[in-house]
Amino acid sequence: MEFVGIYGGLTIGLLGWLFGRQAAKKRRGLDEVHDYVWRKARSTSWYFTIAGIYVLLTLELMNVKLSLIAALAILLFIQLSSWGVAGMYYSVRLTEDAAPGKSIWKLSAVIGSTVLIFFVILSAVTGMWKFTLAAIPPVAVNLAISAYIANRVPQKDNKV
Amino acid sequence: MNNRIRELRSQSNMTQEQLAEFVGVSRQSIIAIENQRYNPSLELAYKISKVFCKSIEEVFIFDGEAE
Repeated sequence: MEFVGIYGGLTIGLLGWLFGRQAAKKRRGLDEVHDYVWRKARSTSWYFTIAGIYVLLTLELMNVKLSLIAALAILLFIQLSSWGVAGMYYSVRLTEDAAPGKSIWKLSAVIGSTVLIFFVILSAVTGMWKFTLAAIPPVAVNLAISAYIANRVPQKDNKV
Repeated sequence: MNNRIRELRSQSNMTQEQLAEFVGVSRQSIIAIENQRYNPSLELAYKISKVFCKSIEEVFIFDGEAE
C-alpha cells in the first residue's frame, strides 16, 4: 500500500508536471518570465521548509516523537506544496491584467478549498474527525495572507 | 524601468497576443512587462524594440529614482 502511495504519487506528479509543460510550451509559456517566477517560488519554498524544520525541532523538544520517514515526508510535502503555491501566487501577481487583487481572491479560494478537501479526505480515511479541525489554521492563514496582499499596492520592477 | 510598449502597440494596432507571438513569449509576459512588474532581459528588450523599429532607449526608459 505504501509503495502505491509513494510511487503512484511520484508518477502522477511527474505526469502532471510533464503535461503542464507541454501545454505551456504550446502557448509559448516556457519563457523568461516563467523561469523567473518558478525560480523565485523555489527560493520561497526553502523559507517554508526551514520554518518546517524548526517546527519539527520544537516538537522534538516538546517530546513529540516522529519517525525519520514521517519527518522527511512532512518536509517533502511542505517543500513541494509551498513551491507550487508560491509559483501560482507569483504568476498571478505578476501577470494579472486588470483589477489587482481580484485574482488573488480566486487563487485564495482554490488554495483554501484544496486544503479543506485534503483534511476532509484525511478525516474520512483515518476515521478521526479531528483532522478536519486541523484545516482551520491553514485556511485562516490563507485568508489573512490574501486579505493582506489584496490590499497592497502592486509592486514593480521584478519585485513580485 | 518605465516603458512605452502599450503606447507603441496601440499606435501599431497590435494586440498583446500578436506582440507576444512576434517576440516568442506568452501574452502573460507581455502583460507583466507592460504593467512594469517585470523587467525583461536585454535580449527580450531588444526583440520588443525591433518589432516597433525603435532603439531600446526609445522603448524602455530607465527611471533611476524608482530604482
